[in-house]
Amino acid sequence: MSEIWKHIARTYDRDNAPDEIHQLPAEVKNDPHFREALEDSKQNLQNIDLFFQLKSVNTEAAWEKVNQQTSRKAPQRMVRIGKLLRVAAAVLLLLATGFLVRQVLENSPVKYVTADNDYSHPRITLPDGSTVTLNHGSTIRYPKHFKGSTREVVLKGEAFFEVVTKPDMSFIVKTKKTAIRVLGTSFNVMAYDSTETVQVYVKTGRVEVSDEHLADHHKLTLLPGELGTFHSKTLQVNKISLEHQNPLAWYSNELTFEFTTLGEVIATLEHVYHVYIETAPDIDLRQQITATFKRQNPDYIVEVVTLALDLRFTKTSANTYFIQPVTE
Amino acid sequence: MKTDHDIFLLIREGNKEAFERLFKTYYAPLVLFARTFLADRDESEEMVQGFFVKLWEDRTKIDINISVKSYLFRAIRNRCLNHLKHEKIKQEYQTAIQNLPLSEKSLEPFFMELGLMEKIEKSIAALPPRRKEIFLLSREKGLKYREIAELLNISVKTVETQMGQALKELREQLKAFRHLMIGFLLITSKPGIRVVPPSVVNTSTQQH
Repeated sequence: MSEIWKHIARTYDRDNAPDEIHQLPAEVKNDPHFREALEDSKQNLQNIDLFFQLKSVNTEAAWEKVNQQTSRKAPQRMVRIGKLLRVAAAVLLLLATGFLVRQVLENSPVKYVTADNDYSHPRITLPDGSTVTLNHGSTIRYPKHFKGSTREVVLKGEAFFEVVTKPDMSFIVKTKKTAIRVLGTSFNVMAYDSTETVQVYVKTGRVEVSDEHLADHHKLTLLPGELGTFHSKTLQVNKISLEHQNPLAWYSNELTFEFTTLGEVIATLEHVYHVYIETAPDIDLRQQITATFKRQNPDYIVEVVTLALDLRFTKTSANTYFIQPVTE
Repeated sequence: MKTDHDIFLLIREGNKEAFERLFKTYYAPLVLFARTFLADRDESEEMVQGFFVKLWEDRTKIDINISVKSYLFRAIRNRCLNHLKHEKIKQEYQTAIQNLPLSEKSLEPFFMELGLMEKIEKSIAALPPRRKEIFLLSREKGLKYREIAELLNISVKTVETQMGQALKELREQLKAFRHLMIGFLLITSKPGIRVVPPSVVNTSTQQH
């Protein structure tokens, strides 16, 4: 009899695949007592496994929470109020509404949009004295007055911020899915709608990048010279190397290339000057160039680059270039 | 003995003890159930807690005519589906589960009558200490016999013998109870307790 139970026990070893039928002697397999005991045990173990799963849920702790939350509010009850009281309540409500409307109006954001075909970069002074320089096609929204413990602005596109230090009032830049929190520093934020990453480059001070809810686990702290990226879909934060980037070029109008490939030079010029540079198919984009440009226009830079690499370019429209090999 | 439905009537009148009793009966099963839709245990627990808070706040408005159990599981399922909608999870997945019927049978993997819970607890507690230890390592902790043998420094054969004896004893203990359980289920699943139009259930649970 105990042999039967040993066989049944073996069937329920966690080492076994659930449907694995144990190689049992035929006389055991066909024994009706065995089959019945096996069937009962299967049922029992299903119940017992569920029992352990249910027990692993801490119902008492959960009840504590729910009990607290349901005790706070008194059950809804009809309250009878006299006429006078009702009038007073109405007046109070009106006052409150007026106050709210005023609050909303005062906090309503001022919208600022840069002109799309304008290469100048408007510099805006915020109510606290901080400045924002907007790149081409970017928008910033901010309130008339900063109130409370934060100074919050909303950015679409790219901007360079120089934030006045206020230890008791952190400055927060919100972009799609991202919040950048600082106390006082200068930094660049790139958050175009067309890309899924938000890039933050720190010039001075210390900057915290996180998701829009300022959750700690998605937080990244950046120091001067560091560039952080925040992926708006995956909420992943990364620091990336700066070797081939000119994160502030659009703002400072200074470009530095050190053994930078032509492909990267083109990508940088396109981003900084909002131009399109096409190349002939036989151009090797891996050839490198080292050069520094200060306050130059894109025409000049493209000319210098092509000359240095023994190529030529034609300007096909106001902001498009075509680079091709020198041909006779 | 009070049925779930009686408890619900008490809750409508604002009886907090009845609410506590309902919560303690269904909380763990509903968490396990929500867990089949949601990413993790914490999320499932928050979801079910939020539901009970809302249930208490709206208690006077909710009119339950189906069995309380069906109502609770259906409400949680709706909440989970709405949550998934917010998270933009694939449409096909949603429609697939929306169409799943919520029969007594389909709730079996999540719900257990309190009486059976207690009986199982007692039956396991009644096993001799060594046997109980081995049984818990296998079923509660999910260890393989080989691992249990190593851990306790005994042979796999000994583990098998002890497990066999444990299963045998549990069968004896739970045998009588299982017949009771079947009778109990037959009584409570009789019609008459159920009435509610599903639309009531939906409006009260799909607000989030």
